[in-house]
Amino acid sequence: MLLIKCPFCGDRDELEFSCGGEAHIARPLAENTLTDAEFADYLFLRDNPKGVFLERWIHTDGCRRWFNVARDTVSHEIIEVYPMGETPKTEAAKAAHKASWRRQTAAEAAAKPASPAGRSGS
Amino acid sequence: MASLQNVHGASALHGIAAASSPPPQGSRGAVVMRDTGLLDKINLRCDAGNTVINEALSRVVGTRLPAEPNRFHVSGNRRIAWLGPDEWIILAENGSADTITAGLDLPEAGHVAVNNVSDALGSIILEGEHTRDALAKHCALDFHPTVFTPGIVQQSLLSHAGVTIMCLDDNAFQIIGRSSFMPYIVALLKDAMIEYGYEFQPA
Amino acid sequence: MKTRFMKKSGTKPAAMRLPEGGRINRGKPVQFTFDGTSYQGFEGDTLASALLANSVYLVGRSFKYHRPRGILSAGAEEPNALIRLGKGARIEPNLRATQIELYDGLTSESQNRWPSLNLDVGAINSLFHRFFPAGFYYKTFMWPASFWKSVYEPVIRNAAGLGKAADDHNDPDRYEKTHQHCDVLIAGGGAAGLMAALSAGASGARVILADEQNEFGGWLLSEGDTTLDGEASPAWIAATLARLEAMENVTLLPRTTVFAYMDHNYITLMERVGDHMAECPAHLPRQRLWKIRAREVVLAQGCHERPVVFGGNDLPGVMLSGAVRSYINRYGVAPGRRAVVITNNDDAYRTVFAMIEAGIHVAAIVDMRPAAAGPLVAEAMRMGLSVHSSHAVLAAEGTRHLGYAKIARYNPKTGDVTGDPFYIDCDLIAMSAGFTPLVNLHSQARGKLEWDEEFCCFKPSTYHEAAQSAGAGNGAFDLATAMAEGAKAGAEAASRIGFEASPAQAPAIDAPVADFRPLNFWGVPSDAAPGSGPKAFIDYQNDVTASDIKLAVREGYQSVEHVKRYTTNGMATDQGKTSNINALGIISGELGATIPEVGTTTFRLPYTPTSLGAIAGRDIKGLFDPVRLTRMDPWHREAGAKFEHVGQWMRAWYYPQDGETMEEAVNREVRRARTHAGILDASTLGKIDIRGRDAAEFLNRVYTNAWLKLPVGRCRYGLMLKDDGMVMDDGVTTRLGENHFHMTTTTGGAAGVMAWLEEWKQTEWPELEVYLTSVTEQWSVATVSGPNARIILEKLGCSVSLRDDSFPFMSCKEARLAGLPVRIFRISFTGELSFEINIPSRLGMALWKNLMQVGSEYGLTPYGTEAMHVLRAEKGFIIVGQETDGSVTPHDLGMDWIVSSKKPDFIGKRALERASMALKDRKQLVGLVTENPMDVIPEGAHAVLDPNQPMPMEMLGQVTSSYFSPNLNQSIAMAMLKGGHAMKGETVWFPMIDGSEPIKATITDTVFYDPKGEKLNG
Repeated sequence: MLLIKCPFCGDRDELEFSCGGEAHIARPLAENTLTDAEFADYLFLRDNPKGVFLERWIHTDGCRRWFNVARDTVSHEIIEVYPMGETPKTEAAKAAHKASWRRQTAAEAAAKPASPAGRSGS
Repeated sequence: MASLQNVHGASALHGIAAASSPPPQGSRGAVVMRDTGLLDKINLRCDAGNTVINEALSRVVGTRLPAEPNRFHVSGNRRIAWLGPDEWIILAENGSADTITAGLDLPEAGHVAVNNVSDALGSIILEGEHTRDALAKHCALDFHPTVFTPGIVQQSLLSHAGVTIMCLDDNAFQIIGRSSFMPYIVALLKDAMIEYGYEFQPA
Repeated sequence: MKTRFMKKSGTKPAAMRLPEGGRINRGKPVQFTFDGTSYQGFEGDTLASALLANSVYLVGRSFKYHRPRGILSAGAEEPNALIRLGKGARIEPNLRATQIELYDGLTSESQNRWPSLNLDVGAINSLFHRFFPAGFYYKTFMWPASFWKSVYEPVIRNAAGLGKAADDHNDPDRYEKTHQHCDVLIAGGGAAGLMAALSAGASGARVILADEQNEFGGWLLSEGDTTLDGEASPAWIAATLARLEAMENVTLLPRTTVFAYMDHNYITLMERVGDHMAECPAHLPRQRLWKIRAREVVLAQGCHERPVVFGGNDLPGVMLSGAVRSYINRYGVAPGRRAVVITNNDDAYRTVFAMIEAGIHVAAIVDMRPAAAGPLVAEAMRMGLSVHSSHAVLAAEGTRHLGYAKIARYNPKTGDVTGDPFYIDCDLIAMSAGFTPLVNLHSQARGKLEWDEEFCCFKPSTYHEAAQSAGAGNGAFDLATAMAEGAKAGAEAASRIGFEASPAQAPAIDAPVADFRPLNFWGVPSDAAPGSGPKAFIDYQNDVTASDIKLAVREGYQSVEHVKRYTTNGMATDQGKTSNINALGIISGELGATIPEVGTTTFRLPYTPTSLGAIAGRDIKGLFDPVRLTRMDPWHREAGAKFEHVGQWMRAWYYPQDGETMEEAVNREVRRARTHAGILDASTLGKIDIRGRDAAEFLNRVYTNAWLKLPVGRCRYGLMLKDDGMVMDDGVTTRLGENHFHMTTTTGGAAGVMAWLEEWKQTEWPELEVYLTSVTEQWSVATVSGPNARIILEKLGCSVSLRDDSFPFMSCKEARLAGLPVRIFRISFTGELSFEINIPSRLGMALWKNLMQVGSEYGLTPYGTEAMHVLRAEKGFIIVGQETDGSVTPHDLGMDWIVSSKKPDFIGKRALERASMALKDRKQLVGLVTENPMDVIPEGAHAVLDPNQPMPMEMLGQVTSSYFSPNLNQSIAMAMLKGGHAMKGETVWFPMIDGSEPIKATITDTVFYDPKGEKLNG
């Protein structure tokens, strides 16, 4: 069982958290002109990399706050925990963020620019 | 017209009978678990730095918001406990909720939400040398006396129930859970305390 | 030779018990039974040592060939002596006799034999061993496929497995768990572990030291030739334990197996609290599972000795050399009278001297090394013992117990036998083929291993977790090195996490200087023609022989993982503790590769079998899952209600009166709600308080319809979608103030909706000023519905007017009812005049009782969730999760009216515009009326256009809700049918799974009752 550092409550067992899947998926703004296929990149497609993965977690049975986690899916090492709306600070996690295919999608381009929000944070 | 104005109402543990189990050999004494009865509880949402609210709290509760996570402040028999970066719970004596919520209903305070949750939550207090041992059976928090010290509040799971746990004294803890989970929590803890002996006292 | 065994006079003490020595308590004799015969042992015995003391050598039959088996080891690695322990519901199978502590009244049975241990019919398998080669199951049970279910599977299942579980499944014992945190967890309390604890403990770190045995000390307890600080090792152990016990920061856990090592130093331990007692006190658990989060871990698990592979090496009487020494020194038992020793290292010589000391005749020492030398060998020769260098045991012979050993000179390079065999009578063979560090936990934690060429073993190399190994488990077999490593590891662990620590002072050690390096030879010396010699076992528990492994390699299995699965080597309950390295040696020999090239299989948890009871803990019966009750629950119970589970809630389902059936009760409740009034406990509905400047905007985004202009005091029904456009929840939300709303959700969806809204608020729209607070349980809810609803509330005394003009449908008022503070919502899920009364839940019961009292005059009838379902179905109201399944849009439900076309955005808006959402053949919600009004279509039934078409039939969709409507006196149903909206008036059929006549129905609108909504105003 992973030991996850909630940015507010501190180190807690994974059992208290829920994983919200891939982080940094920007939601296209309403006025987008995306095709169905482009919109599907936002709606349906999720990454599943071997190695550093940026994902969202919520401390369900603690303070009920969302935050981002950079986790190595092979070693399970938690490289970084950082707030919603921000991008990672460590080199490995920054590289993972930059390398994501999603950065190049029309769906992301149609999202609000550099939002302070988590899912839209780019 | 019928009038029920004198009805006092029932705590979340209403109907759970007094019960006890004697401390077996080797126990350092039975754990006493009691229903705190109709304790008022107010959920407060605002920025930690909201000065209007902090000043209002000083007036109507007697202490300010604990800005540090996992801490609670005490003023007499009232307490304000941290639940999240913009969320707190105020515990106060029965009948005080209306006065406190009214005292916090200030237009100049800005973005604030005050909710009377007195009946949404139930509360018990456990006291005795084996309290930490009993809680550790169903909760993964570190109950070591040098770690979970008086003044600390933590939210976690007590087996399958979400709870807020406050350390009141070296061997005294208060458990706050959702009302409908309180019978389960009491049953769970009574079972866990058989090893040490216990006494359950209804309100 | 002078015999030192007890004279066999009377029944006690046992014949093979040595007159003195050992850590048994001779003042405390205990009685026990094995296969129905009574024996005596002493407190401190294991079942294995007590059986050996009583000359019981045959203790079980092997898995596949039913061969006679005896006690091989003295610890957790035991593959043979598997016991069914206990009586009645307490029976536990497959326990290792070497780890069962003896207590008075212990009852044990051997396994895998029929009708008895001595006469076993299954042993005939042994005669057919040519038909049980490696991969037997895969080769035999292949054809025909139809035989699998009827023949092969029952046969295999009957033959598979060893022990039988208790017939009575009501285990009477308690099992508990505890969660603990520590700075340093030390697994293993032998010499290295104790030293680690001394170092870490002195630093002030929180230390937990766990050992699976009843006493700390590990192998020190079995060595008679070692002194520490000038005293026998038990004295040093006692002094060390006294020092550790005096440290408040150190927790000692004897009888506790560290059995699993998971991510981020999460480690589970099994403490056997009461297993060693004749009767475990009722207040204590029998076993306790420790879940520990450690900052640092020291692994000091020690090592296991490897068997020598030769023909008949599984006969009772053939034992591991260290185990022989342990039985003599720790338990005061002689495991035989006349012994042969076979070894490829020095350690077995210590057993030789221990046997001689105990009066056991050592008939021969067979040393596989080409030129055995060194002080211990010299000592044996000086004592006049016959030491045969460069020799091997070719076979052990005997029927149910060892009789003699066949020995010959061999070539340690090739394995060829080079001299004539000779035979030596013996009832004990002590064997040693070197030592295997216990890297199980290290490997579970994904630590890497390296091959130690000198000691022929895998040992830890790099660590994945914050851990380190010490002692024999790290390949340090020499006591002084092990203790130094332990002391250093304990200090290192503590200092890594900020404690000031230094290695504890090790005692002065006086022990024989032994060369633990084994001969690097993995062949099986034999003079028999290939395939015809006696079986040489690698995996005793799964009956895998050296030839099986060779055959598997010849058949093309090269990966060690494949050989494992094909031969089943290492797959039994002992998980290959004694067989792993020997199997690798044989595979490497056959492949001409080195052992590190072959690699090793993955160690998985648990280290030793762990009872399911301990894993379940107290999550059983009433504590298995919380049951949530409303404040009015005692009233429902008193009224005789039947209940149904809705999520964790228990809700009143229906209230049968005077022997009514469910159908009769529900029909009565449904009718009364429309003719008089009904009352429903709706407390379980989710309730969320929403506040802030942007509260209306927030609702505008999460619901499909418009919310900005809802007046204060008014309610609105809302539908929530996921961003894929599919319906996820619905409910009524009320504007209590300009910036203040009260949302309701479905009972089952309450937690999910709260989490959903928080997710969007926190992650997508943090700029919105809105706070969400769950107030579900703050309010008890009584819904009064029906033509008499208004008068009942008025009679109770309501502080506000309930007339239509001042309190219209879809509005809310704060009021006092009977003087109590309430919020009344005039909303309706029945289609009748209806008031949902919310009251602080401490007063819920008081309100309910008074409503019932006042309402009885007006026919107020409590109704349960079943009647609620019928009432809403009569009105065609959907239930999310019943009509919907996550693939249904508002348009599919015919609820286009609730989807705003003007709002710029809401969750699901863009997805609803996808091309696939407009397909004509999407399943759409329709009503159904059966041709025969009394036919109620089963929910889930599938619709077809032609019931006579050949199978598989073309199916249109399924019935989602179906009831008999007592108000309409006919069956009604709702269904999701392909293109259903365009099929109004058409006929569909529902074929029945039981072959009865298909039900014929007509597609209708979904509103069956009061389509104009005239009853809403009473």
